[in-house]
Amino acid sequence: MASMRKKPTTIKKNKSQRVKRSVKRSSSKNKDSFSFLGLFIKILLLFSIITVGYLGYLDHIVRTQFEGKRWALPAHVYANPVELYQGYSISISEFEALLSDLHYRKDPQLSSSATYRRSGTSFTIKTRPFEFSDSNEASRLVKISFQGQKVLKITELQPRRSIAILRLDPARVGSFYPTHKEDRILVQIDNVPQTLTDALVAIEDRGFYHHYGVSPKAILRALWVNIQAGGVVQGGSTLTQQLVKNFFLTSERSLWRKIKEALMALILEAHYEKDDILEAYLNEVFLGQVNEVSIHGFGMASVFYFNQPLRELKPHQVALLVGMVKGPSYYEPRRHPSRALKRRNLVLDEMVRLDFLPQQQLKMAKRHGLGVTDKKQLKTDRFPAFLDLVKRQLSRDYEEADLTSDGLKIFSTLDYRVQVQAEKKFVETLNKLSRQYGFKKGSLQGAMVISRRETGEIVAVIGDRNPKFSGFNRALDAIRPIGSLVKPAVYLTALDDPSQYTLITPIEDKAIQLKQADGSLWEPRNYDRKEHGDVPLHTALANSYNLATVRLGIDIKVANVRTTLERLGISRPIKPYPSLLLGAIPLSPIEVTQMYQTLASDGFLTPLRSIQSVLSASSEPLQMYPLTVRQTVSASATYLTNVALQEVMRTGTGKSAYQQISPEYQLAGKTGTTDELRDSWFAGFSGDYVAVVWLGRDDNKPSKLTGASGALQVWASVMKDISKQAVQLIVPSDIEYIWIDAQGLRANEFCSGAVQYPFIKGSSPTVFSPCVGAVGKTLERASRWFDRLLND
Amino acid sequence: MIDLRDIKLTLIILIFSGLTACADLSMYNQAPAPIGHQGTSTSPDYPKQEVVISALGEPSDDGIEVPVPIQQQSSQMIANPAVVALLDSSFQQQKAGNLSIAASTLERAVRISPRNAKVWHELALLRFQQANYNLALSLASKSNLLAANDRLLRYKNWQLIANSKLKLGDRNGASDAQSQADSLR
Repeated sequence: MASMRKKPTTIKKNKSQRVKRSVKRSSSKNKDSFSFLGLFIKILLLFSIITVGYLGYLDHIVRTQFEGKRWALPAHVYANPVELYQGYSISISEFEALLSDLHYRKDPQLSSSATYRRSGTSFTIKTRPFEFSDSNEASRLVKISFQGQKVLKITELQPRRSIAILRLDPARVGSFYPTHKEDRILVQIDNVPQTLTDALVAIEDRGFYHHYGVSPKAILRALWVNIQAGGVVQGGSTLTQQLVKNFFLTSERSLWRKIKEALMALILEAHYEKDDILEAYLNEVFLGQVNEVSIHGFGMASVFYFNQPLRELKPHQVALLVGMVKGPSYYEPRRHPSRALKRRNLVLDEMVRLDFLPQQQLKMAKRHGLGVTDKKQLKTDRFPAFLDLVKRQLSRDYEEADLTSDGLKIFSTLDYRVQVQAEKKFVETLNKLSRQYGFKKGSLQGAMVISRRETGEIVAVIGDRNPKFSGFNRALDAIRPIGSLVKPAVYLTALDDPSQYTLITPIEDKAIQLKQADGSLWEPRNYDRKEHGDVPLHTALANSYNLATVRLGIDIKVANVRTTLERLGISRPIKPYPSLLLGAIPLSPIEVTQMYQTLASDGFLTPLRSIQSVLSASSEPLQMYPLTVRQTVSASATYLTNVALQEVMRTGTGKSAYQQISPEYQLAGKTGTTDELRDSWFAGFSGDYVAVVWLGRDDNKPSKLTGASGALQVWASVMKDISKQAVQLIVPSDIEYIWIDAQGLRANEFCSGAVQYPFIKGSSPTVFSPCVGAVGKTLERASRWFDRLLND
Repeated sequence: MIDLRDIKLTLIILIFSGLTACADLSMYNQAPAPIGHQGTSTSPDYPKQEVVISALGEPSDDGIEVPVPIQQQSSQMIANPAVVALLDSSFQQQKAGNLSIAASTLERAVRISPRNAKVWHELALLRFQQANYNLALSLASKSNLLAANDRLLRYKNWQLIANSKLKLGDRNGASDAQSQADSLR
């Protein structure tokens, strides 16, 4: 080489050098042939080094990707599973709606899981199997009978026995996808029907179990067929090559790419078993598209096209899926049914020809239609506001990357039926109000949060007048002054000091002027611009008198009211100005829900939750979100406040609710209206749910609605639909009921016009009413003495 | 010598005792009237001892269906076979050492029967077993509130609260709770 590269010697040379050169020249002639060989060897060596290096690089890619986390699986969010038991309150039509929510099919033969049939007031169901965090529920055959609007009995049919409680599979309500939106249900080779693997090998790669990754036979055959046909009719790629193409490489088609693909296929086969490769293929192959989400793998395809798990598929269904491998869009069964059918039948024929399917089954299989379900089952994000909440609560514990790629199973607290019904009523009432008050279309916005009264589990969230819209989530982010919704906190603070305040303590509802920090005067007014004089405390709250509330608040000190709000669960910083007493504190609907949740839970702060647990893709529990309670406000002060809130509904600002709902619900709640009617609020609870509604305009202009005329109407119409339990407040042990006369003096049941009020023991009036005679007084005293004797 | 006044006094005391005993009973049995409930001596029509499940959709006078709520006494819900089944499950799971799963099962029971004092108590016991003493005593307090007249359950709750406070190093709190428990024996 060196001699080649050397520059030619200069012309001027002496004789000896010329001799040397001639000697060199003659020897270099021989050397030329040697050096040519040497050159050739060296090129070959270089080429080998490069090739080996490149192969090593490919090998590295193949192995790390194949063995590592192969697929980014989206996280799936499930609603709270419905649990059926004797006495469970659900009507037949509600139950049918539930089955529809869960994508159960009507099928008299109950030929697969997730099917049902109805006869009169009973249903026979084949449940869908599901892996919960605490148990793996297999598919069961059960009979559920109804009486009136309740479940009467649940019986398992195989083996026959009575069941106390049946937990149905939960509805999937959303997913968190990685940026490349692919959806999969992973399958293992052992759980895949034999017909599928047989058919796949038969149609796509007959020599799969024999070749080394590339099949020259297949290539030649394809070449031959294609030449004959005059175009590309058959592919010569093995399953391995197809896997490599989808798994590792982009879709560019070039000779170089083909070579790379072949090399990688060989490498793959060298390292891994046939079954491993086949399993990867089964999970990777592209089989359909829904908007931005692509369907990969037979597991997902089976659910997407047939709403059945892969292992339940019959030969004619398997044949369709295998047929689609060649062109999922071209053979899409819903868009091109006749094409798909032809292809399927062709596959069935091949299966018989190669003895993978008995001849007699062929006719039966072909008689079937395609069997695909009507609806596209892939519902993404049906409840965006709720999912937004879930994502925010998860992001405290999980990184975005893990959330969208680890295939997490997230069990949420969403109640599917409650959410759907609430949305319906919310929209209906909002539209009605818009029409009634002549609002410009779309100008009135709103939000609603509903939680379980005792456990703080959030069952529904609405963030927009159009609940399906995924945009600004008002339930979590519309931060507005809460107006009179703050008042229960003021009164609760007062009632927590029974030596000073009881429900009947008179308060002055009289004009008041307060000097503010900047020197200006604050002069609050009542809604009706009147003064009401001395009123009992409970009346001031029931009628939401501003003047009385401000006076009370100043007496008990605003800072104490702030403390109460913090105890009720408000974590946002609060400014302890007098205007706080009338609700000059901006909160989001969910923060208000937390506040009223504590009232509804008898003074136990019960943090709102949207998630119950998080499981890994293989159903291992990763995180539990337990039920947590903590008593932060005295139970008796809370009881008294709640009793007053019930009065709000019976005779106070909330009474129009009972035009829609039966008074037997004994609801407790509070209306809230802000300055110039910009915000319309209602917060309250029934026996089973706490709910908060906000209505207003995004541009913050006056909405013309008060809490009662706006939010309450929405609240009542939703609660009427979803609530099934009345409020039954448990009387704390230190509360006693005392008869009080019209003047606020101690009476008894025989006094006319006397009424019973609850009091924290020791705080009730001691002065007797004139209507109580001497005997009555003595009886009373003796009774109280006896009482103390018992409890000491 | 027994005086007529003494006889009168004795009679009065006897009558008072009888009357106060009656008054006592009626106060415990009577569900409280709402504010503004006018004076009558009959108690309001809330269900007392049995579980009343009124059918939803009872027609009102003008023929329009008005949903009527279910009213249930919390302490009676223990009869619910679903709750019993879940409690059983939970015990089995606890025996097998699966405390976390047992907790999930109990939380399912709470969801079904949220004002059931016994279920909250069982959950409190479980959290105690898991050494989560703060949560245990909170759950036991909640159970106490819901327990109303169930003396035995309230005793168990106070005992659990006392044990929890002891574990947390709150000796004063523990002895207060212990005396509450002892007073209920």
